[in-house]
Amino acid sequence: MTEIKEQKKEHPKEELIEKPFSDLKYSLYLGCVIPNRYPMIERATRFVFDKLGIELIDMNGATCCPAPGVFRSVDKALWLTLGARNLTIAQNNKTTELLTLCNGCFGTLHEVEHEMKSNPDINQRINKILAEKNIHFDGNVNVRQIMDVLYFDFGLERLKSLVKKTLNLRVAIHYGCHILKPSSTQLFGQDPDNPTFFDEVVETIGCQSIDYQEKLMCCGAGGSLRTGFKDNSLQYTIEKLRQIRKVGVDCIVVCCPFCHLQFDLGQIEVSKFLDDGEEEFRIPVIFITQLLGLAMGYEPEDLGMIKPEEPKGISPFVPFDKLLKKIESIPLDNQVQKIKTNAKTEAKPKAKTKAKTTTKGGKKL
Amino acid sequence: MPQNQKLLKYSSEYSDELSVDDELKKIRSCIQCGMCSAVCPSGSFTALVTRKIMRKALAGDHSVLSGPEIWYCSTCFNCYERCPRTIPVTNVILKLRNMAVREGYLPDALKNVIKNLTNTGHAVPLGGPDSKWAKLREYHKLKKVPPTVHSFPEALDELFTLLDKIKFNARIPYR
Repeated sequence: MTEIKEQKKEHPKEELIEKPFSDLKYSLYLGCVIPNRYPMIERATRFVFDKLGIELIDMNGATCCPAPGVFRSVDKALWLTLGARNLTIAQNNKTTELLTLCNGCFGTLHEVEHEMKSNPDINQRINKILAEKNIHFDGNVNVRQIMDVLYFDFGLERLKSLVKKTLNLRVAIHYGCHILKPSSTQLFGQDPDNPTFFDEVVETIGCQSIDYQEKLMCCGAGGSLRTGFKDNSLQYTIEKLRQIRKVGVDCIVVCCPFCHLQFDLGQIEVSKFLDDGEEEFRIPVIFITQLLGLAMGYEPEDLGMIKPEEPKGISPFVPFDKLLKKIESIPLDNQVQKIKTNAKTEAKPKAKTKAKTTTKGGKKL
Repeated sequence: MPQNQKLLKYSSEYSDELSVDDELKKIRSCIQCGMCSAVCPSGSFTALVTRKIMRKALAGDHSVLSGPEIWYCSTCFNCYERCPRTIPVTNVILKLRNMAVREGYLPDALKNVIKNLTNTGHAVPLGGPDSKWAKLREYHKLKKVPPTVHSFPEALDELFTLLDKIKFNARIPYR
């Protein structure tokens, strides 16, 4: 634990909190699943950051991170080489912060960053390979994850100030694995068995994080398990979905597109494993920047939450309809305040007269 | 000669230089307590028994590479966090997978994903500017083709050069 604390001190997060939003800029690492399967996550994230005036610089020519499950398993040399190449794109963008919206990409890029910075032997070998294309990783890139940016760079206070619509939704949070573990390189300095950062963010923006059994369990998608043995990976998912259904929530909130896919498409795929008479799962899955956007009062359409009629067979697979209806019925906070103040001003004279009568009565007595 | 020498011997024989490091040696301190298996979510659904994987690896039992069990791990790192001997169990499994692949034991289902990466630069590619996913991007007011390697042919060339440089196509039996 002391190791983690020391690491936290080294991180320049406190400085960043003092900076105004407009000074923050990040290289946006999209990965594969977001741009090519769940583009609504890209849309919501770009939209929210744009509204906040925070610059996201595209990482032109970035490849797959490469995925920690498949490619780290298959060949570590490939994994390190392509990972380091991706880091150099952020470096060429002249940004020190690389923002990823995925736990898997974070797992790879953060680990590669760590290896390149802490292991001179690996650094030398990989840079020698990259030299073939005149690329060199200088070590001036910090790999960040969206939760870490929300928690440290935005900060809870500022997040709270952004809320224009208190949603008060009951949500099931899924942290995912690679944002928590290994704890020795985790960014939050929190116990991976008892993390709070995601809950804190969700509660700060006006929702209730509902605890459920197996909250910290893996979604099942990682480690090439979904790719290689999908039915095995769905066993994880159905277990988590059953526990989530038990506590009753409006939606599942994730910070990783692969977990997102596993919970969203997974709800259709687990149908074959349902017990006799067990109801199908239809719990909407939303990404943290979509939830933030909703809390900021933006329209679901701008956050990619309206699904087109065509083409068929696209994400999201679990419809948002019920959730959107609920959100539509929630007024903006200033409207609530207006109603409250109106109610107060209407009520005040009555109260005053009442008060007067009591004082009068009091005097009389 | 102690049994544990076996694994280290064949690891240096078959593995790429980069894969051989001190992490594998740490399994020598495994006391077979079973903590890794107790906290393994995959272990409750599949035939994966991490404790046995560690023992087989230590004993140089070849079936650890040829069997499917090491591929049932979802790399959640629970075992890595809990091992009382601080063996990086997850990383050991990843290394064993690297070794298995080099011996030709690559699960078929992974081959397509590897082909995707080596052909397009994405493990999950868009499928071209006319695919339904490109249409979905357009609907969401995004560039039809994302500003990744998909939009930059020179980046794809760069990827091919690097793959050649590490002799990936020659070393990995994915085709």
